Formats: sequence, structure tokens, C-alpha cells
Amino acid sequence: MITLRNISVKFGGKLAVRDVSAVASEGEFIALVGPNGSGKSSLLKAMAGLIPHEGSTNLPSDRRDRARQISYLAQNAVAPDDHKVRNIVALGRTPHIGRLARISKADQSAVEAAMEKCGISNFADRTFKTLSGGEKTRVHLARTIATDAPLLLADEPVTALDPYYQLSVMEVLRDASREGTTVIAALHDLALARRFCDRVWVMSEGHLLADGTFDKTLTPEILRNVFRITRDGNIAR
Amino acid sequence: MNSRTWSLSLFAICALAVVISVGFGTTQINFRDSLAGLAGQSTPDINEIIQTIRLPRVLLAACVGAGLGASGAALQGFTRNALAAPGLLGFSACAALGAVLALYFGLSKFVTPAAIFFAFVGATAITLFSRRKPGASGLVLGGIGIGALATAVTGLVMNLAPNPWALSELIYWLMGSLKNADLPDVIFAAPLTLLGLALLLYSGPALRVLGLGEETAQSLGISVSQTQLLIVAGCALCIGSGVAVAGAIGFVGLFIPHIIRFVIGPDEAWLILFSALGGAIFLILIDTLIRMTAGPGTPLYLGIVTSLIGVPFFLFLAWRQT
Repeated sequence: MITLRNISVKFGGKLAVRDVSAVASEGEFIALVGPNGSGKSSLLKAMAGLIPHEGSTNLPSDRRDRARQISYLAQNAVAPDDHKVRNIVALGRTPHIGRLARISKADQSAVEAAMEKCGISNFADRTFKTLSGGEKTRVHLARTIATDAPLLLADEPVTALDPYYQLSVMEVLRDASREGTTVIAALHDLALARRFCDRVWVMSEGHLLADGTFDKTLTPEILRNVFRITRDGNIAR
Repeated sequence: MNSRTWSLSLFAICALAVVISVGFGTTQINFRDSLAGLAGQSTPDINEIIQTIRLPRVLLAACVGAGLGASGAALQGFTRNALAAPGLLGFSACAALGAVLALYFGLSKFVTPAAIFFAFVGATAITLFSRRKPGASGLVLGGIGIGALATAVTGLVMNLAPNPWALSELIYWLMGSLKNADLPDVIFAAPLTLLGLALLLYSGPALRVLGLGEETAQSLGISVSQTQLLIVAGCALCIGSGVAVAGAIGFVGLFIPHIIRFVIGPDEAWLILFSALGGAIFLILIDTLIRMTAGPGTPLYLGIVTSLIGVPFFLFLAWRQT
């Protein structure tokens, strides 16, 4: 179980995340939704230990221990163009490998399994620059799956993908949660979130405004006041 | 070929380059006599020439080249910028300033410690500059800025040179050369270079992960600031000791990692070792060429030759990037 207690993040004197407390259970797939600038990315980064924050979590504070407990898929993730897909996915095993040690057979198996789950085994020996945008996202996803961490944080993993890749990425995340990984993904597509996720956290102006099932949480008031849309998908006037 | 085979091959080529190189000079010595001379088993004259004159010069070329190649590979890996090199990011300029100041004040015995001291002053300044945000952008901006400042102060020192002879001494020194290399230089530069290489090689695995961006690398347990510190200290040791004994040798750190990347592959960790060996081989060969072409006039300076080869390559890279 992941527990967040009173998490606040300050950026340039402004609070990007305000006093967020929440709990995520093992194997849950949580959609973190909210308009642009509502604090979703900052909350994920704070959980991953990438930015300074106030408050506490039950996640390890040691950098390496934390890296074994949390895998993080950054928004607009990058990778070296001329590296092979297999080698990029293998970097997900970094927290498990000694600094100057070679990759073990167990690590290699984890890499192969992650590539299989993400459907990228057939282009494992291609270089990153030869892939399409959707294929690149799945490579990054495979790298996070290869870490084999109990918590997976994904920052807008399906933004800018076509419907096929959106569905395939969401399926991989859902499968990971069914195997026991807690998945928290920042998403903009509410319909996609409702279809795949167990629960939703709604962020607005840095606050965690609502936390619960989709039916109880995404009320007409929240849709109008937070997302500025109506239930039938029009702009709220 | 896998990475281990490449390492062994490059080590073997480097050793062969040393043996071949010591045979060339004003007195030609064949391969068998060179080997015998290295082992002290040839005639006293040949033993003397090889062991006290040529071997220190060749070993120093290997040290300086290895330091430049490895520093360039580490800086390019850390900044993820194909144009990063110790000469462009201020390390060479700071070390050169130290040496020029020592020469200006008539302290020619202190050229070596002054160069290494100023390399560390520069490295500290770059680290302090990028303290607010350690990472590629801080290192590049800080390095270029501090390098430009060191170059400007070097220019001022030359401007204030008391007479044309003092000025020419500074200019010749800045051109970079191994013509005065001797055993004490090797004893000074080799351990510092090896220590610098060890730091850079230790940072190698982190550089692989930094290819995923600083944020992702941090999430995988990599400390960006610790990696930066290792690289800055490693470069200061390699470049400081190299400039101290050979002057400013330009562009080796820029193009050797590119050639190695093109021939062997992009793995950032292995690239540091291969670039060290490639830099050593390159500088041994260029210095041998300079000795072979040396006539009665002013000899060619090593730094000039490496720049003449390096600058067109730099322009080609810049053109490709735009």
C-alpha cells in the first residue's frame, strides 16, 4: 500500500501541489486526472523523489531503494537514437545491477519478459530512431515494466498516440496492475481512464479534489467546475 | 567484434604504436632494435636514445591523447551534445591560463603545478556555476563561460608581455608540443591521467542511463550531481596534467569519440575506454609524423597539427547538426 501524507510541492514561490493525502492499494490502477497545470506531473515527480516536496510517503528515501520500488515513465521520454531497443529496455534494470557489474541472466529474463508484454520483441534489435512514435512509447513502457517495481508511475503515457497505441499502452498498464503492480497514470482522456482504471484522483489547482470510483467522482459539478465541460462532452458555458 | 575484443585489439594497437614510434626520429632505428632498446638489450647509444628521449615522449603522447579522448567521450555522453569537448568547455583554457601565468611571472619551474591547479580552479568554478541545476545545460553554459573568461585573461597576459621574446615563449607554449618531454613529465602526468581515467570510467554506466534524460535517470537511481562531479574531476585531472606537460592540444577530445562511435558503436560506458585508447594511438601517430618530418627549421607543433585535422571535422559536425 502506498500512503501519501500532506504532500506539497513549491515551484518558484507558487504551490503546484497543495497538501495532498491519499492511499493506493496493491494492484490498483489509478487514473490521475485534472486540467493542464493542475499539479498531476508535480505530484508524480514528488512521489518518484525527483523534486523536493513537503509531507511524507511510506516509500524509501534512499535513492537506489526508491528506484527499485518505483518505476517512472516521464512525459515526452527520450532515448539515444542509435541504441538498440533491447539495450534501452535493459536500462530499466539499472537499480538491480551493481555499478560496474554485468547484466545477469535474471535481469536478461526480466528484459525479455517486459518486451514480450509490451509486444516489442519483434523489433528488439532495431535502433530507437527507426521506430514510430507509438513504438517508442512502448519501448519506454517496456523499460519501466522491466524494473519490476511494485509501483509504476506514468505521466501522460498515451498523449499524442493513435487509438491503437493508446489502447495497447493502457492494456499493458492494466495487465501490470492485475499482476499486483500499483499503477498511477496521469491521463487526459476521461473515457479511456474510465474504461481501464479502477479509481480516479481528480486534481485541481494543486489540490486532490476527489478520490473514488468514476461514477461517484466525475459528477456533473466536477466536470463543469474542474474540466469546464459537460457530461455529454461539450464546453460548459 | 564484442566490446572485450575491441578493448584487447585497441590495447594491442596502442602497444604496437609505442614500439613502432620509438624507432622514428632523427636517427632511424629498426623494429627489432627498438624492441631490444626498450628492454635495454641493444647498443648503449640506442638504449639511451630510446629510453631517455623517445620513450618518455611517446608515453607522454599516449597519456595526453588518452586523457583528451576519454574526457571528450565523457563530456559528450554527459551533456548528450555531439560538440562537447574539453577544449570547448573550458578545461583546457583554464589549465593553459595557469601555465601562461607561471611563464609570465618567470616561474617556468611552476608551469606544471600551475596548469593543474588552474584546471581544478576552472572545474570548481564550473561546478559552482551549475550548482543550482546540475546537469548538461549547467555544465555546457558554465564550461563555455568560464573557458571564455580564461581565454580572455590569457589574452590579457599575452597583451602585457614585456617583450617579443616573452610573447613568443607564451605563443609557442600555447601551440602545444611534446618536444621537451622527459621522464619526470611522464612520472608527473601518468598517475594523474590514470586517476582521471578511473573517475571517468567509473562514471560510464551512469552515462548510459543519462541517455534517457536526467529525470528518468534519476528515477532509476542515478545521481546527476554525483556523476557531474566525477566527470568534472576526471576531466580536470586528465586535461590539467596533459596541458601541464604538453600545452594546449586542440580538438582530439572532440573528434576521437566520434570516430570511435562511428567505428565501434554508441555504448557510452565503453566509449570512454575506447576513446582513451583511440586518443593515445592518434597522438602517438601524429607526434611520430611530426618527428619524421622535422627538418632544420621551426618544427611543427603538435597542437597545430591536431587542430588542423580537428577543425574541419568540427565544421563538418556543426554543418550536419544544422
